Amino acid sequence: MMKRNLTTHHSATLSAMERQEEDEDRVKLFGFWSSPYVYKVEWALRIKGIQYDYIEENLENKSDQLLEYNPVHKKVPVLIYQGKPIAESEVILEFIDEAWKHHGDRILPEDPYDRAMARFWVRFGKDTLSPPIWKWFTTQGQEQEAAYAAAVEQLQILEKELDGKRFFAGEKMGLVDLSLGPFSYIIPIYEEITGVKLIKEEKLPSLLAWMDNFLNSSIVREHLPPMDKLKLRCQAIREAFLKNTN
Amino acid sequence: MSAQKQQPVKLLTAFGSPFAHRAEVALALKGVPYELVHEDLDNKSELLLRHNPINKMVPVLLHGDDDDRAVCESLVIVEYVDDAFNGPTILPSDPYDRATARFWAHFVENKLSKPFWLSFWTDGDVQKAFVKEARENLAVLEKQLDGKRFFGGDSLGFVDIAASALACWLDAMEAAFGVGLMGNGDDEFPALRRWVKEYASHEAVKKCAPDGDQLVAYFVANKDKYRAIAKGVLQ
Repeated sequence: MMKRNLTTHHSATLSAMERQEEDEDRVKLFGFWSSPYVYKVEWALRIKGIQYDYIEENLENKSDQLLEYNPVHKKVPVLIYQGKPIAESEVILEFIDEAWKHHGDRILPEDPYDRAMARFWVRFGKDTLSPPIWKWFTTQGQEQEAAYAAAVEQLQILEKELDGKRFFAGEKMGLVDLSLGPFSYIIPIYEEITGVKLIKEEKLPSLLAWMDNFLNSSIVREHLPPMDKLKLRCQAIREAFLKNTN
Repeated sequence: MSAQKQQPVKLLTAFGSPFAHRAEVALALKGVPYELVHEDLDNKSELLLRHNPINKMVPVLLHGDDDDRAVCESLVIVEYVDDAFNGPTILPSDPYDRATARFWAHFVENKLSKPFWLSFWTDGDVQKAFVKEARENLAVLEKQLDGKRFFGGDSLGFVDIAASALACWLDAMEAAFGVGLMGNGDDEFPALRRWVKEYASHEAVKKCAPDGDQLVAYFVANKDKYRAIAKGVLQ
């Protein structure tokens, strides 16, 4: 079973230099417990069977290390590979697939056109689908209704692309599944909090099934954020947004 | 059936589009023969709407005897061109270097792009804020360039292509909209200024860069359209 090692570990039997080398060689991940971007990276590392040290950041008091490793964005996730940082989850996912090409399953397909399609759908998720979903969750009244309609429209496009497949990548999950994956637990939380269903069986049956396939996969079910804590956090976020617009 | 690499390539483009330029530079760099299909974005062709039904935008790359492979989104197209064809590499081969290149291309797309364009298409305090943000991000790029010839080192690569609007559009935009973004002194952003010259004088870029005067004329003629786009973005 995959384990994260919380904070670094040292072996008493290695020399100081060997320890430093070993330490530098260990893959590290700076993260935050509720960040979906961090989870995408962690699932990818699990697909490849890569052991890593996890460092939980306090985003309200970021560590010097994080700021040194990601001075441009100052965000998580940041992956450390042989002492060198990689930031931006989409960039990290492709890196993991390339650096550990021969470990575990491929995250991106081999064929250039299929790779282009995967990258296209990742962008779709980020640029076209996420904004109306976020807007739906953080607004009310007419603005919320308009965002809901826009979100459903984009979800229908995704439904068509999925077309009854087990995962977007086919029989096994791939880049697009990892990228959209957090929606599989975030949308139900949003639905619970707003009291409105976004993904209805009659309209989006493939997506509904995909969410189930994703959550129940061996990679994902062993590593999900604490749902009760996450729900409270989401609730607080919605309340803060509604308060700001009043 | 002909080998995939030798099948015809079409690029749906529109004059003035820096995104279409990225795709074209990639093809030129790789030495891939291609046919340009010029779109009138106010009257989009059936070909464009069929192959990019979701975003309905240029560029679209069509590859194959029956246009059977359609690739959309400029940087996705650039990576496709790099993956699918032989020729000079656009992304480096080492995974960490590739990650670095992708990171900086993302930076240009996600942090620089919006304030860059909106510096020209807005006014008043809103504009001042975008100019400030754009210049801050230009400073980050300046530091990243760090005296190198190109962002990728000695040869033109992924980040250079992503940032191409800085080289080919900046002058025209500054002239058309009367906004000085990179400042007037030669001491401001010296590495970026040198890079602009390197980029613009590259063989592949010369084949497909838009004519500067035509670009100015285009943006002057379409000022209201772009100001309206900016308003739409800011809502």
